[in-house]
Amino acid sequence: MTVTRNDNGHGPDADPRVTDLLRSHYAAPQDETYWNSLEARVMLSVTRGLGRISDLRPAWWSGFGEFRTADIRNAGLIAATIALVVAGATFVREAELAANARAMAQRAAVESALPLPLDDATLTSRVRVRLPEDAPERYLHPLDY
Amino acid sequence: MTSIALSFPAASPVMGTDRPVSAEALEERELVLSAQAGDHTAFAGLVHRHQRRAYAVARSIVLSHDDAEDAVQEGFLHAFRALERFRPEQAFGAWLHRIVANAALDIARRRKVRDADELPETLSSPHRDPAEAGELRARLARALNTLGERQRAVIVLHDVEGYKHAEIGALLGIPEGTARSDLHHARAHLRRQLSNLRSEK
Repeated sequence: MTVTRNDNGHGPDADPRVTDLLRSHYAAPQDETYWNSLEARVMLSVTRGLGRISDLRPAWWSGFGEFRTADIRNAGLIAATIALVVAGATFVREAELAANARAMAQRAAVESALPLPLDDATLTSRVRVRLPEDAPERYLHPLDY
Repeated sequence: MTSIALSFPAASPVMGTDRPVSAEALEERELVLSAQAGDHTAFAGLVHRHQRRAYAVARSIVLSHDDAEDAVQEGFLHAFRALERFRPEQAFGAWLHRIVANAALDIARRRKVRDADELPETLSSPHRDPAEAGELRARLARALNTLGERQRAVIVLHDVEGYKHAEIGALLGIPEGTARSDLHHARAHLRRQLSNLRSEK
């Protein structure tokens, strides 16, 4: 079946003469023996010292070669988003801590500038004299005592 | 207008969908499963099926036939090593061609760093690349050499191999729009470089 996959090198900005030259320049070998030979060389390189497929364990870096730019870009975008969220959360937390520290420092400064309520402290620390139970009676009727 | 006759099988259908599964696709799936189980003959069958297309992909990226051959061999070797991780419901061709394209890109980069000065010589190897015969083709080779690696690959994959922009994007790991733009620039560049072709011929 004959299929036209694109503009066949004859788009508005294409020069058919250049396209024909390119096709001639990049023409693949037509000789069938060439392809048989290439196949044999490929299989030789594959089988030479490699053993069975199941014995092969790819190197850890070999997978990177199969990544597409789009895959890397998507992974990068996800990583950047996560990093941004983490950085944002850390920033907010740090800001809260700093604000608390500032508030504590301000309060300490204010409290240190004000006089201490010493009287109250004295009163609360003083040992109260325990009055006898009939004391109020004596205050009201002192002559009876 | 002539159209491109494709000698490679259509993209394998996705298993588990309503799309019809061709006999060829089923056969390929069997080959993949057997190769995954350790059958070298089955893998040879996959090589036989895909080597021409793999060569075309590699050749569009590297500058010489020899490098394209190396890329094909490396690509198949990588594919063989990674075969355990391949899911049979995927299209084997698309998966393989991406690996070959990566191998070719690696070779092109290494070549660029190692011996950039020797590239024109490599291009004019008469034995390996019959298209190098005339002065006209030598000029095309020089013009291609002045193109960026990616733009060259895009124009060859599109205008020579008949890939669509989206397929080129998937092969080279670039967005479809970039492939489209690269094609436009590559065409304009070659047209400029070879602008007096008509008057000479």
